Amino acid sequence: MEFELNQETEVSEISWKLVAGLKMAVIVGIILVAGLGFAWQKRNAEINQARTRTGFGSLINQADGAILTIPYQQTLYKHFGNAINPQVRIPVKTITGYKKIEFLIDSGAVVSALPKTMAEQVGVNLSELPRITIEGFAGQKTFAYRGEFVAMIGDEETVIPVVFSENPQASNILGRIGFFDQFNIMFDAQDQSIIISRKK
Amino acid sequence: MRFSTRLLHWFYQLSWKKVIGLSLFLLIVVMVPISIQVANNRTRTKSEAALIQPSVQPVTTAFQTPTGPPKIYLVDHFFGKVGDSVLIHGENLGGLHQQSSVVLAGQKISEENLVSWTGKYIEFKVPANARSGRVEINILGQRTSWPGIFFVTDDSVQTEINLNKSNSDPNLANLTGTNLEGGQELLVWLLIINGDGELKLTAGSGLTMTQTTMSLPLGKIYEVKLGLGKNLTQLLKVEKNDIQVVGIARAELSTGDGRLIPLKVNPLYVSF
Repeated sequence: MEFELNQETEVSEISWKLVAGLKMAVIVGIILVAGLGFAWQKRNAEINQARTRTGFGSLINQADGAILTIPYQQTLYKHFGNAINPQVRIPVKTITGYKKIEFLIDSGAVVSALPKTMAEQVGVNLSELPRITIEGFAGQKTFAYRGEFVAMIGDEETVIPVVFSENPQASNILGRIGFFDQFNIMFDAQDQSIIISRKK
Repeated sequence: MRFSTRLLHWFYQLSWKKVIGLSLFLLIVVMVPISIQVANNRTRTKSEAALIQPSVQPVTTAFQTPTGPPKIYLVDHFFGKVGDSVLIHGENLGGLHQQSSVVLAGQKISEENLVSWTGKYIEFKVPANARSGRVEINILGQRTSWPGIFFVTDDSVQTEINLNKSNSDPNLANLTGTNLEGGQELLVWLLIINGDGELKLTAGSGLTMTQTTMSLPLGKIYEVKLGLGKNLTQLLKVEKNDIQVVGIARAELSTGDGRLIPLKVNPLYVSF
């Protein structure tokens, strides 16, 4: 009889502790869920706008891993003195293997560009590509051919849309489509380098 | 009684209503410093430009009232696949207007295939089902056409002429032909895009050549007519100076009965 009574007391003691624990968990849970929701909302608002999705995981680890760090290149301009040139040398897939080609990183360019003479090297037949016009600095229209090339950025192959320009003086440019929307590009004045990392 | 047991007991005695109320109270208390922190943080959300829905790019137009009859200097390039851009260079072209139109081989270019239209040039895309033929424009009721023929090309067009730059001399190129069988006369316009001076043209062996020149606002044009014989590959030697850029602006290959054979140029060899 006494044993049964002790058992009942033990059971009821466990159950009230459970209820108390549950109530504590509810309070902590509400604060945690609401807090994380608020922080998530804030992060989405920060990056906001363009279809960026982010999970709770990224709240914990927001550090983006650099896949390529390029030291600044300086040019001494006659009129302006020393200025940084955002130039990178990246391996580009050609018909004879990867070849390092220098590009100017240009956030003002909609799309990357190469002179038409590069088309053969990257194994592209210009006759088969759609012909478009591109506008130069002075508004001069030049024909170009819309294609793509493969570049090794860090240790991964990346397909980058490009236009092959008929202008023989065209520079190699890395523009926004396919580059700025796939990678984070940071100009680090402290370390004097350009840091490229894959977007999360 | 231990503190933890007392705390547990206190929670146990709380009603569910009070639990919810306490949660909300604590939430508000926690939110105050978080909100202050957020408000003081630098933010990247100043611009909402990216929230603007993308829209179809309209025809770029800057209407310039014509001061005379319209003129077409050049249809550039004179060949193209469906979807390729073509530029009509000219004068007094006005701008996009209900009473103005561009016609290719009798077919009006619809607005969706027009890219830009200014007083000096019109850009359009070769529409689906387009046929080779003349390019005509109607500017506010005044019509004119380009004397050349625009060729709509596809995989079936194998006839090709190219300006192949010499490996040893960057100022020398050979105009070569591929699959010109059946052609008797080749008319070519060579346009000096950049620079002044004359071109030195030498016909390939066994070919007859006549040449005339004309000056357009775009540059000087050499109109060359080659009477083709058995030599259908090495057509013409073109020599320019260091600063000149020369391109093929027009080409027509005709048979003995006056029929035209569609031809194209590889974009790599359209100029040098």
